[in-house]
Amino acid sequence: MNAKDLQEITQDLATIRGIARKLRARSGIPVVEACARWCDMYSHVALWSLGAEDSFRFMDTAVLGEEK
Amino acid sequence: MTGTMSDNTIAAVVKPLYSRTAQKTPFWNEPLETMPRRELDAMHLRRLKGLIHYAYHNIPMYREIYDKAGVKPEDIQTLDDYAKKLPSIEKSDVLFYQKQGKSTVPGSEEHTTVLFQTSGTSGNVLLEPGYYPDTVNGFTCQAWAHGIRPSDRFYFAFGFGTFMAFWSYYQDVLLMGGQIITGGGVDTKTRILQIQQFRPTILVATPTYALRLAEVAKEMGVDPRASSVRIVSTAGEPGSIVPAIRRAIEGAWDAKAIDLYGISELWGSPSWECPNHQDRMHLSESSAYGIVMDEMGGLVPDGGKGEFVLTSYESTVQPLIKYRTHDIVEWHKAPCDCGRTWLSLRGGVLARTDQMVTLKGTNVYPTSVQVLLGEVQGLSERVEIHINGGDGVPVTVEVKVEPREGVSQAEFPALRAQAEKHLHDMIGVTIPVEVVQFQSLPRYELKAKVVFDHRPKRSS
Repeated sequence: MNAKDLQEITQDLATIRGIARKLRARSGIPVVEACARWCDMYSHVALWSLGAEDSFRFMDTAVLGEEK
Repeated sequence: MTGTMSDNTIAAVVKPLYSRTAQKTPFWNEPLETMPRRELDAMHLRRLKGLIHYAYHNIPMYREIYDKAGVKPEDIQTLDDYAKKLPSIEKSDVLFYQKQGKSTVPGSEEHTTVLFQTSGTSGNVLLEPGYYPDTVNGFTCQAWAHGIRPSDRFYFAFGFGTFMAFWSYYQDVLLMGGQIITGGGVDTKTRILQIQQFRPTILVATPTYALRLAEVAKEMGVDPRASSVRIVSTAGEPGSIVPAIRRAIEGAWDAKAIDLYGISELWGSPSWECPNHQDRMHLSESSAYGIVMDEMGGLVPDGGKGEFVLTSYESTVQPLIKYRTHDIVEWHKAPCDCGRTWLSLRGGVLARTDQMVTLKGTNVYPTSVQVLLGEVQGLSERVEIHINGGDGVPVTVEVKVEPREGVSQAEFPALRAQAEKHLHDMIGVTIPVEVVQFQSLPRYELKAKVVFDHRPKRSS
């Protein structure tokens, strides 16, 4: 796998994660927030597994910005 | 309309879970499994610095330990700093701070979605709080490397109790997409019947229990060698990395045995059997950083033996940083011909530091005794090692071992002599060996008790 492909994969994963986090923060619908949380978690696991994400903030998955 | 409804049903296409490329690769995570050492180490340094900073500022246990040692996160700028400056911790530290509620991130309760615990055989139960994905990828790298794919069916011969054990494997099979057959809540005979009925291809069990299952199957008139099982995947205690245990499992099931070494409080951080070399394990460096230290806390050079000290990136609620495992390993950093750059541990766990005894000035590890006895033709892997003496009385070690099936009692004296000579030749001290009747030592349902330390316990 070349570096360009890997970069594209990590960018796509980061995009997925960003959308998931937005849904978690804004939807207000429990089932959507729950499913988006799994999406957030596993895109983070994939990024972490590839060495593309180094944050060690498990609370990061919970910190969503302003309280609705 | 040209076809019937049943034709349409037959024509339905079932799409595979993985692309052809993914199915064919031997790597679950090629970018990291084959990453050059220099890049791997750079990643570890970034992660360690982040983790140490995080722990110091969020977890009282680390704040107290590091302050006491006069170390600040900013002092750790290189991997050498990590090895030399950062204090190591061990189970007793975690237990101490856990009782005070200082080992986890304050406010993490809502994010503690799973809670496991150690067996507490020493009287102290260590709690293992975690978050869903903490266990992910503990077994997947090994499974993929050994040709296990989503078309496989996994039989979990495991009680699903309070130990983490195969819960983590279960999560990984869910992630990977294999079929799970849970063997919890039923007895051994029922498990044998379920294996016959459901025809799993992968048997997941401790080595002790895999052998027990085979033994009971034979008592029931069922030949385990004729079963559907093609791989026996074990963990929880030394398995096929020990040649005598490999021989016993593979012989009993006519299946390949693969071994994994992990520590539950580190949420996996596993080392697992290399697909090319049965005598070595690779540390999953995507989830942990490992070094080997000597008795004085110094870094053991590449290729040397010492205590394995691990930092897990996956125990997120209760991170364990520079955690002493008390397991003796021999580490090698050279890339393996399997294509992986991850650390190799030759022979897996060679011994436990806390089980070492000194006989006439020679350090003796019970694990080594078990391995050596397995090298004697005619002896089995079933062993009991009894340690006596202490408190002023000279320490002695005595061994009981079962012969392999079919060995006659007339052969016992010769076997005993061979075993004692082999131990003396290899270790340098005399250890009495008693060859006991086949199937006379106790059978265990999870892990075998091998070492019996009868010395008086000292209160700390």
